[in-house]
Amino acid sequence: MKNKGLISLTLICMVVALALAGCAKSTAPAQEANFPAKTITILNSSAAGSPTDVMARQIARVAEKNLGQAMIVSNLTGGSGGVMLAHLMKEKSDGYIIATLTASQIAALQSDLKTHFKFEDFEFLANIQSEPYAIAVRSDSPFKSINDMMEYAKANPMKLKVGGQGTGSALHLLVLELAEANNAKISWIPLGGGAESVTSVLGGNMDVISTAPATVSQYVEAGQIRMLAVSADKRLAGYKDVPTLKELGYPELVMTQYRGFIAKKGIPAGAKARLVDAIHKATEDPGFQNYMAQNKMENAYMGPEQFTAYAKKDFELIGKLLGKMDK
Amino acid sequence: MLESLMAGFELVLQWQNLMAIVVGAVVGYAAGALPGLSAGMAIALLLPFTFTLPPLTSLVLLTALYAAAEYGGSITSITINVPGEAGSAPTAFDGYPLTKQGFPAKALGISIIASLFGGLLSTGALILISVPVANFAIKFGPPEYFALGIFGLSMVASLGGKSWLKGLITVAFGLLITTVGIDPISGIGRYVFSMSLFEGIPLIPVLVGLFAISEVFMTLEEMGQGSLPYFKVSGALPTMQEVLRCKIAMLRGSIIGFIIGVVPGAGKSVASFIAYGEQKRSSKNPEQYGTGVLEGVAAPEAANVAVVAGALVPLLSLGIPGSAAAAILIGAFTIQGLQPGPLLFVKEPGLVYGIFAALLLGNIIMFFMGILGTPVWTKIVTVSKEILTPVVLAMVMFAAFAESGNSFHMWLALIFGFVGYLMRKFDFPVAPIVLSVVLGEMIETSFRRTLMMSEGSYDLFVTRPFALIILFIAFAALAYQVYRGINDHKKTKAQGC
Repeated sequence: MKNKGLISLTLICMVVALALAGCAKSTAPAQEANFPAKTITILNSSAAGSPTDVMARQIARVAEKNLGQAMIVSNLTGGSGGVMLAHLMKEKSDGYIIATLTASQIAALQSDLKTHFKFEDFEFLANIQSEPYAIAVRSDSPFKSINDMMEYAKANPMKLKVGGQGTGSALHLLVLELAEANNAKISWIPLGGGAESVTSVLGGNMDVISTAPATVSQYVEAGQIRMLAVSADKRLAGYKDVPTLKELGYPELVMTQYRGFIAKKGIPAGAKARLVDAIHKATEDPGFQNYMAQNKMENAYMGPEQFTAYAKKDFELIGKLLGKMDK
Repeated sequence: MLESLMAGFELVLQWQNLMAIVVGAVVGYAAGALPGLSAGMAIALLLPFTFTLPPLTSLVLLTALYAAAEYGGSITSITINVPGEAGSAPTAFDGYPLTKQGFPAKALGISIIASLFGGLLSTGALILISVPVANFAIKFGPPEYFALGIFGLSMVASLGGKSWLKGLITVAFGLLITTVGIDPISGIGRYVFSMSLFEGIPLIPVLVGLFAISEVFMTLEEMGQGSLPYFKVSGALPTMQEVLRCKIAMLRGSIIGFIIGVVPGAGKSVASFIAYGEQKRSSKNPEQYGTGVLEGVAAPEAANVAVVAGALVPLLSLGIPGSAAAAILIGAFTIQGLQPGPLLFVKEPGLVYGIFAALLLGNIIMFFMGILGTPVWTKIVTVSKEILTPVVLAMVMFAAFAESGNSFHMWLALIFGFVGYLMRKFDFPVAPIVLSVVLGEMIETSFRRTLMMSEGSYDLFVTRPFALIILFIAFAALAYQVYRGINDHKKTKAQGC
């Protein structure tokens, strides 16, 4: 039947056309003087709606007005951030494709991704947020302070159940260091995401959790969870009565989950300067500051040099702690 | 509470919220129906667009989407034996045979009615008993999750088709697959040949490969042999009598779905498998299941939609997602600067009751969409396979890619398509693999976490009451199925061949 042949032919043409459309590559050469001349893509390694994703979108919303070109956020999850980084490394570094970077990826660079990427593969543009971690318990817990907790742990080795995300993550290493400093042995139970930590402590399945203030803030406000300490440099504005680990006698335990932007090494200086400038101005936008305030986050902006130094320090600290863990 | 609900309805009946429900329902319906596209993906795709919408509108849109996807998933399950969502897989067990017998509209009709039943009942439960139920669900710890996972797996005995041994083999194979990836407990990589495997083998390529692509291969084989089946199709909807006959099945499915949804992270697609298994187990004619029993469509479909409301219980009252798609919904809240959780009811009661009202309204809208659309869906069955097959193949390959932006997943889908084809040729049931893949990680990590909690002793599985009860039910169900299977085998032998 002629009809059948015609239909098949049309379908084949449609499929081929679609496939070819997907293969089109942009061939316009990026000229530094006109940067940006087209849309800029921000890669993000976590799902839409996650804290880092929301940060990127909030920045993009303001920065694109400054740059005069659209900035879109593209989510490429998987591989502990490796899938996103691999994509970043594949492309030319001309300033049109940058990525978010958080402390989690830096930690991953020392473990899962160690054989795939080096710290030197990237150039750090700017840091936006920096949130400390927190040690928290259910509000009816007998532990009223880190001291109480450690006393119990010292007297009862391996009985204190501490939960948190991941193994070898900053959350885990933080707790390990704390225990080691007190010569105590705790039982670390790796959990999934932040929500799982909250569920497990509220349900009485964990004694203590290693988490972030943002994850537990509404439960603290509702009186269901109590934070024993935070791993910040100084006490947080929103939680003035929660001590820092530093002031409790653990000066090395200043660790944060930071979120910023990076590019592949080799980004042209002009493009880099434009991007950094736009991002910096975005952090000063009142709408952006409103979003930060709503989420109880303080401005932690760092420029390229500062961010590079900070990330490098964190990278080395994680490396050291991981080395200790392996023994 | 009634006044709050009335207030919620008032808010929802504003034109932009009504529009949002309809748009969400349509998109969700499509996303659920298209094999490979999942509710979670659709929510993630639309999320950035909701940035600029007012909070209630955006949440209402996405919630309607989430619920509608479960309505839509059954369409392709029933008409072409390709589930649109993991949770729609059990619907095909009795739905597709009904189509082959020429009654797709009956199956579609029952699925829509059961979905409405499940949706309304579970939304009612959500409104009335959210908080106490959430507080109970929170007590679930690793031992309970392990027990729940085993219970879910025990359902395989009723899905195993003719040979429960083959069913067990496929379940074991599925569990093996879930060990690929970076072990979440020790951080050590297992079988990670590529960075794309860090998170393990993802569900969508497996689902799409095992069901859709294997179906494509089988159809190709039939085409090659020149023996394409032609269905004579009647557009008859189920009669009132048939609908009433299914009422217990629908109730059972709704309750199971709601409970599974409430337990955070239990994997919502499991609900329909459990509902099907339980329905079959407690029916008077279990051996007919798989040949086109209406109750076998009603139970899983009710469960599917009930899971949605169930998953919203911990989400709204505790801020904890009951499923992966619900986790993305949390993003919708955060983008608006809201935090779902204990304070949401207090700070934004209008929003919460608005969502409840939207769910009730949405279910009704979807029911009508479904009933009105049934004649159209039925037509799908009459489309020539020569046209349908390449379209389905292209669609699922695209979906496998679209979910992650990673072309590696397309290869995975193809590989599993081939595996699924081989399995079907050798009479191995394919559905149990989906069950294992959904439950595998939960079972393994819960088991190990329990042992970590108890420092190596197994007593936590028996000293914690809920874990013990669930495990007991699981083994009882399994033993009963095996016993019945052996008995039936003896009976047919005794009847003489």
